[in-house]
Amino acid sequence: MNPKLGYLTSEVIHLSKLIADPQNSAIGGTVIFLGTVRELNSENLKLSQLYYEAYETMAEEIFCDIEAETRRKWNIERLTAIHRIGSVNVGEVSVVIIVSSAHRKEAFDSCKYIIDNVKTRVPIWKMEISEAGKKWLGGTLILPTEK
Amino acid sequence: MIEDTGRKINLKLYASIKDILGKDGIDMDWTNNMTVGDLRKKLDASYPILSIVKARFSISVNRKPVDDSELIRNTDEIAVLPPISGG
Repeated sequence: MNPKLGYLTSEVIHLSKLIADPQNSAIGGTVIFLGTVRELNSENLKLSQLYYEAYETMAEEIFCDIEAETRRKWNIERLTAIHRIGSVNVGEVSVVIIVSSAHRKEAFDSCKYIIDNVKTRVPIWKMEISEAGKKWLGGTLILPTEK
Repeated sequence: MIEDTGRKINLKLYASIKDILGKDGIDMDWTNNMTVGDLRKKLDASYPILSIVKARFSISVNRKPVDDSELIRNTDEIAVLPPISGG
Protein backbone atom coordinates (compact mmCIF):
# COMPACT_ATOMS: atom_id res chain seq x y z
CA MET A 1 0.00 0.00 0.00
CA ASN A 2 1.34 3.46 -0.79
CA PRO A 3 1.62 5.35 2.44
CA LYS A 4 -0.04 8.68 2.87
CA LEU A 5 2.81 11.04 3.65
CA GLY A 6 2.65 13.04 6.82
CA TYR A 7 2.40 10.63 9.72
CA LEU A 8 5.91 11.78 10.69
CA THR A 9 6.96 15.39 11.14
CA SER A 10 9.99 17.26 12.37
CA GLU A 11 7.87 20.37 12.95
CA VAL A 12 6.24 21.41 16.23
CA ILE A 13 2.70 19.98 16.45
CA HIS A 14 0.05 22.66 17.04
CA LEU A 15 -3.05 20.92 18.31
CA SER A 16 -5.33 23.91 17.74
CA LYS A 17 -4.64 23.78 14.01
CA LEU A 18 -5.45 20.08 13.89
CA ILE A 19 -8.84 20.38 15.56
CA ALA A 20 -9.95 23.52 13.71
CA ASP A 21 -11.17 21.50 10.73
CA PRO A 22 -14.55 22.28 9.13
CA GLN A 23 -17.57 20.76 10.83
CA ASN A 24 -18.71 17.30 9.79
CA SER A 25 -22.35 16.76 10.79
CA ALA A 26 -21.84 12.98 11.06
CA ILE A 27 -19.39 13.39 13.95
CA GLY A 28 -20.81 12.81 17.42
CA GLY A 29 -17.58 12.34 19.35
CA THR A 30 -13.90 13.11 19.01
CA VAL A 31 -11.15 11.54 21.13
CA ILE A 32 -7.69 13.05 21.26
CA PHE A 33 -4.60 11.30 22.61
CA LEU A 34 -1.58 13.54 23.17
CA GLY A 35 1.82 12.24 24.13
CA THR A 36 3.97 14.99 25.62
CA VAL A 37 7.57 15.07 26.79
CA ARG A 38 7.87 14.85 30.59
CA GLU A 39 10.58 16.75 32.40
CA LEU A 40 11.55 13.86 34.67
CA ASN A 41 12.36 10.40 33.35
CA SER A 42 11.64 7.12 35.14
CA GLU A 43 14.82 7.58 37.24
CA ASN A 44 13.81 11.13 38.21
CA LEU A 45 16.57 12.58 36.01
CA LYS A 46 15.75 15.98 34.55
CA LEU A 47 15.58 15.84 30.76
CA SER A 48 16.42 18.68 28.44
CA GLN A 49 15.05 17.02 25.30
CA LEU A 50 14.00 13.77 23.70
CA TYR A 51 15.36 12.82 20.33
CA TYR A 52 13.24 10.55 18.10
CA GLU A 53 14.74 8.57 15.23
CA ALA A 54 12.59 6.66 12.74
CA TYR A 55 13.05 4.18 9.94
CA GLU A 56 10.95 6.64 8.03
CA THR A 57 9.74 4.68 5.01
CA MET A 58 8.75 1.66 7.13
CA ALA A 59 7.19 3.87 9.82
CA GLU A 60 5.00 5.62 7.23
CA GLU A 61 3.91 2.25 5.80
CA ILE A 62 3.07 0.78 9.21
CA PHE A 63 1.14 3.92 10.20
CA CYS A 64 -0.77 3.53 6.94
CA ASP A 65 -1.52 -0.14 7.77
CA ILE A 66 -2.73 0.82 11.25
CA GLU A 67 -5.00 3.52 9.81
CA ALA A 68 -6.45 1.04 7.28
CA GLU A 69 -7.05 -1.58 10.01
CA THR A 70 -8.71 1.03 12.23
CA ARG A 71 -11.01 2.16 9.44
CA ARG A 72 -11.97 -1.48 8.77
CA LYS A 73 -12.74 -2.20 12.44
CA TRP A 74 -14.66 0.98 13.27
CA ASN A 75 -16.78 3.51 11.46
CA ILE A 76 -14.42 6.48 11.51
CA GLU A 77 -15.36 9.91 10.19
CA ARG A 78 -11.95 11.51 10.68
CA LEU A 79 -8.54 10.21 11.73
CA THR A 80 -5.31 12.11 12.30
CA ALA A 81 -2.09 10.49 13.53
CA ILE A 82 1.19 12.41 13.70
CA HIS A 83 4.48 11.54 15.41
CA ARG A 84 7.43 13.89 15.87
CA ILE A 85 10.93 12.92 14.80
CA GLY A 86 14.15 14.72 15.69
CA SER A 87 14.56 16.82 18.82
CA VAL A 88 11.46 17.45 20.95
CA ASN A 89 11.59 19.78 23.94
CA VAL A 90 10.07 19.12 27.36
CA GLY A 91 6.37 20.01 27.27
CA GLU A 92 6.03 19.62 23.52
CA VAL A 93 3.71 17.12 21.87
CA SER A 94 5.55 14.04 20.61
CA VAL A 95 2.53 12.19 19.25
CA VAL A 96 -1.09 13.07 18.57
CA ILE A 97 -3.96 10.77 17.63
CA ILE A 98 -7.36 12.29 16.87
CA VAL A 99 -10.34 10.12 16.00
CA SER A 100 -13.86 11.30 15.28
CA SER A 101 -16.85 9.05 14.83
CA ALA A 102 -20.61 9.08 15.25
CA HIS A 103 -20.43 7.67 18.80
CA ARG A 104 -17.93 8.03 21.62
CA LYS A 105 -17.25 4.32 22.12
CA GLU A 106 -15.91 3.92 18.60
CA ALA A 107 -13.76 7.00 19.03
CA PHE A 108 -12.31 5.86 22.39
CA ASP A 109 -11.73 2.25 21.28
CA SER A 110 -10.16 3.15 17.95
CA CYS A 111 -7.93 5.85 19.45
CA LYS A 112 -6.61 3.32 21.99
CA TYR A 113 -6.07 0.75 19.23
CA ILE A 114 -4.02 3.24 17.23
CA ILE A 115 -1.71 4.40 20.03
CA ASP A 116 -1.25 0.83 21.34
CA ASN A 117 -0.24 -0.32 17.85
CA VAL A 118 2.03 2.68 17.27
CA LYS A 119 3.86 1.73 20.48
CA THR A 120 4.41 -1.88 19.39
CA ARG A 121 4.76 -1.76 15.60
CA VAL A 122 6.09 1.57 14.30
CA PRO A 123 9.91 1.71 14.07
CA ILE A 124 10.59 4.86 16.10
CA TRP A 125 13.27 5.10 18.79
CA LYS A 126 13.56 7.56 21.66
CA MET A 127 16.78 8.96 23.07
CA GLU A 128 16.76 10.77 26.39
CA ILE A 129 19.06 13.76 26.61
CA SER A 130 19.80 14.86 30.19
CA GLU A 131 22.63 16.19 32.32
CA ALA A 132 23.74 12.57 32.69
CA GLY A 133 24.23 12.28 28.94
CA LYS A 134 22.37 10.58 26.11
CA LYS A 135 20.61 7.25 26.39
CA TRP A 136 18.49 5.22 23.94
CA LEU A 137 15.46 3.84 25.72
CA GLY A 138 14.69 0.14 25.50
CA GLY A 139 11.20 -0.85 24.56
CA THR A 140 9.25 -3.37 22.56
CA LEU A 141 10.69 -5.71 19.95
CA ILE A 142 8.67 -5.51 16.76
CA LEU A 143 7.15 -8.94 16.16
CA PRO A 144 6.48 -10.40 12.72
CA THR A 145 3.00 -9.75 11.42
CA GLU A 146 0.80 -12.82 11.27
CA LYS A 147 0.68 -14.40 7.84
CA MET B 1 20.05 -25.38 -7.89
CA ILE B 2 23.22 -23.44 -8.62
CA GLU B 3 24.62 -21.78 -5.52
CA ASP B 4 24.57 -18.05 -6.07
CA THR B 5 27.18 -16.40 -3.83
CA GLY B 6 29.57 -13.51 -3.78
CA ARG B 7 27.00 -10.76 -3.61
CA LYS B 8 26.42 -8.36 -0.79
CA ILE B 9 23.33 -7.20 0.98
CA ASN B 10 23.18 -3.93 2.87
CA LEU B 11 21.64 -3.78 6.33
CA LYS B 12 20.23 -0.49 7.58
CA LEU B 13 21.02 0.19 11.24
CA TYR B 14 19.10 2.35 13.67
CA ALA B 15 19.30 3.90 17.14
CA SER B 16 21.26 1.84 19.72
CA ILE B 17 22.53 -0.71 17.17
CA LYS B 18 23.76 2.11 14.92
CA ASP B 19 25.63 3.61 17.88
CA ILE B 20 27.10 0.25 19.00
CA LEU B 21 28.49 -0.48 15.53
CA GLY B 22 29.32 3.15 14.80
CA LYS B 23 27.66 3.28 11.38
CA ASP B 24 24.22 3.46 9.84
CA GLY B 25 24.64 0.51 7.50
CA ILE B 26 26.76 -2.59 6.99
CA ASP B 27 27.33 -4.91 4.06
CA MET B 28 27.07 -8.67 4.59
CA ASP B 29 27.80 -11.54 2.23
CA TRP B 30 24.66 -12.96 0.69
CA THR B 31 24.14 -16.57 -0.34
CA ASN B 32 21.30 -18.23 -2.19
CA ASN B 33 18.56 -19.58 0.10
CA MET B 34 19.81 -17.43 2.95
CA THR B 35 17.24 -16.98 5.71
CA VAL B 36 16.87 -14.27 8.33
CA GLY B 37 18.10 -16.85 10.88
CA ASP B 38 21.26 -17.36 8.80
CA LEU B 39 21.72 -13.62 8.68
CA ARG B 40 21.44 -13.39 12.49
CA LYS B 41 24.21 -16.01 12.82
CA LYS B 42 26.44 -14.11 10.39
CA LEU B 43 25.79 -10.89 12.27
CA ASP B 44 26.72 -12.49 15.61
CA ALA B 45 29.91 -13.96 14.09
CA SER B 46 30.94 -10.74 12.37
CA TYR B 47 30.01 -8.37 15.20
CA PRO B 48 30.53 -10.18 18.55
CA ILE B 49 29.93 -6.88 20.35
CA LEU B 50 26.21 -7.41 19.67
CA SER B 51 26.20 -10.54 21.85
CA ILE B 52 28.49 -8.99 24.45
CA VAL B 53 26.09 -6.12 25.06
CA LYS B 54 23.12 -8.52 24.72
CA ALA B 55 21.66 -6.41 21.91
CA ARG B 56 18.09 -7.45 21.10
CA PHE B 57 16.72 -6.72 17.66
CA SER B 58 14.13 -7.64 15.05
CA ILE B 59 14.87 -7.90 11.34
CA SER B 60 12.66 -6.33 8.70
CA VAL B 61 12.64 -7.32 5.04
CA ASN B 62 11.18 -4.80 2.64
CA ARG B 63 9.86 -2.81 5.58
CA LYS B 64 7.94 -5.74 7.08
CA PRO B 65 8.95 -7.45 10.33
CA VAL B 66 9.71 -11.12 9.61
CA ASP B 67 10.65 -14.25 11.51
CA ASP B 68 13.86 -16.25 11.17
CA SER B 69 12.51 -18.59 8.49
CA GLU B 70 12.05 -15.76 5.95
CA LEU B 71 14.17 -16.13 2.81
CA ILE B 72 16.31 -13.16 1.83
CA ARG B 73 16.83 -12.11 -1.78
CA ASN B 74 19.85 -10.00 -2.60
CA THR B 75 17.59 -7.18 -3.77
CA ASP B 76 15.68 -6.98 -0.47
CA GLU B 77 15.73 -3.93 1.78
CA ILE B 78 16.86 -5.23 5.15
CA ALA B 79 17.02 -3.41 8.48
CA VAL B 80 18.10 -4.27 12.00
CA LEU B 81 15.55 -2.89 14.45
CA PRO B 82 16.34 -2.55 18.16
CA PRO B 83 13.35 -2.49 20.55
CA ILE B 84 11.18 0.48 19.64
CA SER B 85 10.20 3.27 22.03
CA GLY B 86 8.03 5.71 20.12
CA GLY B 87 5.18 7.65 21.64
